[in-house]
Amino acid sequence: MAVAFVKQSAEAYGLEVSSFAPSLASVVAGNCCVVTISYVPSGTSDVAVPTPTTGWSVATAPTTGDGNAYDAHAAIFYKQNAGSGTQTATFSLPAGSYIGGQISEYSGVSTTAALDVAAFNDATGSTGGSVTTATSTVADAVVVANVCVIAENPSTPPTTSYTAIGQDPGDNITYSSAYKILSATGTQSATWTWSGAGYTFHYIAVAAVFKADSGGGVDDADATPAAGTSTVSTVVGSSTAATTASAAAGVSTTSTVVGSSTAVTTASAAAGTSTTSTVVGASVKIADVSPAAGSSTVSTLTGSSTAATTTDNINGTCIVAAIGSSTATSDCSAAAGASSTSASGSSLATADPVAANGTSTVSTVVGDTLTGSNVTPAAGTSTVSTVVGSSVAASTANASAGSASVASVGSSLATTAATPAAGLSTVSTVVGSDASAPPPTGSTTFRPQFRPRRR
Amino acid sequence: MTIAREITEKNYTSRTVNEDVVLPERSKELRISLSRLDWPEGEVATVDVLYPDGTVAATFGMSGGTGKRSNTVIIIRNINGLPPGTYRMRFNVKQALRTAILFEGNETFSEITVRER
Repeated sequence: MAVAFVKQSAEAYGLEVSSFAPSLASVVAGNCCVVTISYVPSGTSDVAVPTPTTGWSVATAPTTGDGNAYDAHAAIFYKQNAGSGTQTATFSLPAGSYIGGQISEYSGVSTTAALDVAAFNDATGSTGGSVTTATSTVADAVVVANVCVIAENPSTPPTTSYTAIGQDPGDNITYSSAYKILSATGTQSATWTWSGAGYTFHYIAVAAVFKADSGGGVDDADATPAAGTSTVSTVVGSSTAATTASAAAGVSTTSTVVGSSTAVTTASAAAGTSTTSTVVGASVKIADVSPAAGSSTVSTLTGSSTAATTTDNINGTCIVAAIGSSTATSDCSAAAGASSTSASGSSLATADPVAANGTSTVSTVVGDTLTGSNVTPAAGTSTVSTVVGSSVAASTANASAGSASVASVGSSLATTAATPAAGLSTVSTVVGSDASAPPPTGSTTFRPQFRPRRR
Repeated sequence: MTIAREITEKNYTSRTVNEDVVLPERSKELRISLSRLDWPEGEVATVDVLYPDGTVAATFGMSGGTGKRSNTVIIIRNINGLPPGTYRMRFNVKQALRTAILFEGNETFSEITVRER
């Protein structure tokens, strides 16, 4: 289901108030609600933007300003997978504050990972301003943008096909909120113009992209458990294949392939539970998770890591963690008990953590790693998690008994097998070809003084 | 700007008071102004603004003490116009206060000023 605008609340604005709670009635369960606010605190500038009550998440809420009173602030919050009925976002404010905003509702947005990218721009402009996000990752999405400025008459909507959801005509505190349904990935910009030439105005512009959770997939593959339940769901983007989830017994699930993954392969459980989920972006490979018994998990590969290597666990606990582009994260061996190795830098290999007994974990490889590999406990629990960077392969997690996990994130070529002989096997979450979300754009060092218009 | 209803200055005790107003046709904006007449410190009241169908558009809290303005202003508006009918201001008074209330309908959006001039 493509992302679509459903409806919005009225704009609400309060001057000299101490709390603010816009409401939107008759929200459909599972939809995404977005609240945009423009805020002028009662005291001095550079205060934290208030956050709404539980259940809302921050898309972008910069604590910025020009250091003066009556300074403009703007923020975007969202509630993915909203419940049905009335949705209310309650903000508590310093007494005497000024705040306005509205809630808008969108269908087709991911119920589990709605926010794609977000950005803010804390800047000045005499005739206009803008904000630009990092590259969005899913074509089917909506961008919501909002600006708050000490100026007059922001254009509504922002340029390039936005639809207005809120606008104040302005006198000396104004805002403009709008949305645009997207059909392609890329950086998303919103640009406003305003009047009042002769002065330089401080503004905060914010934008957030909320992505779809389905549609556009090439191939949804097989889910063939010999017994139990198996599900393959939600292939989005240019994935060429999402293949097999097989459970000889128990539950097998493959879900949510998004982006340009070339292959998401097998999650097989001879017994127990096997899950493959959430491949987003230019994934190349996530490899085998094959516990003979117990639980196995492969999750979260982002970037272009070529490999994350071996974790062998006989007994005890062993952890290898590498962050950055280290050339090697080496052996971690524990005859019994816990052992861990971690590194940062340009890793070429994440090597063997070996524990004779207990738990073995390989976690958090970020950067240009070359291998991401085996987790093979003879007994106990083994986990490989979170490879971020340019991974080509995250390979094997084998548990002859107990549980094994491989988790990685990035631009891998394949997500392969999770094959526990017994127990739980999970492959999940390959995201993007970027190692991390880019920083917000547009921070400026120029902090002009606010000069109110004179009549 | 059309004055839809005006309630002259009076005292309110700690209770909930419903004040209804019929919004003029073609209004895009409902503007409610409450004069701040020596309101006591702390939270003094909340205001729920209800659409004609009874659903809440928004809720605002107000505190006393010295403010930047001599009134609190609450605005509900929609670019495409507000639903016609009777709107309700549910005034939940938490501390005794004195105020005058002005309801205005507007076919265009009024300006918002941070500072009175």
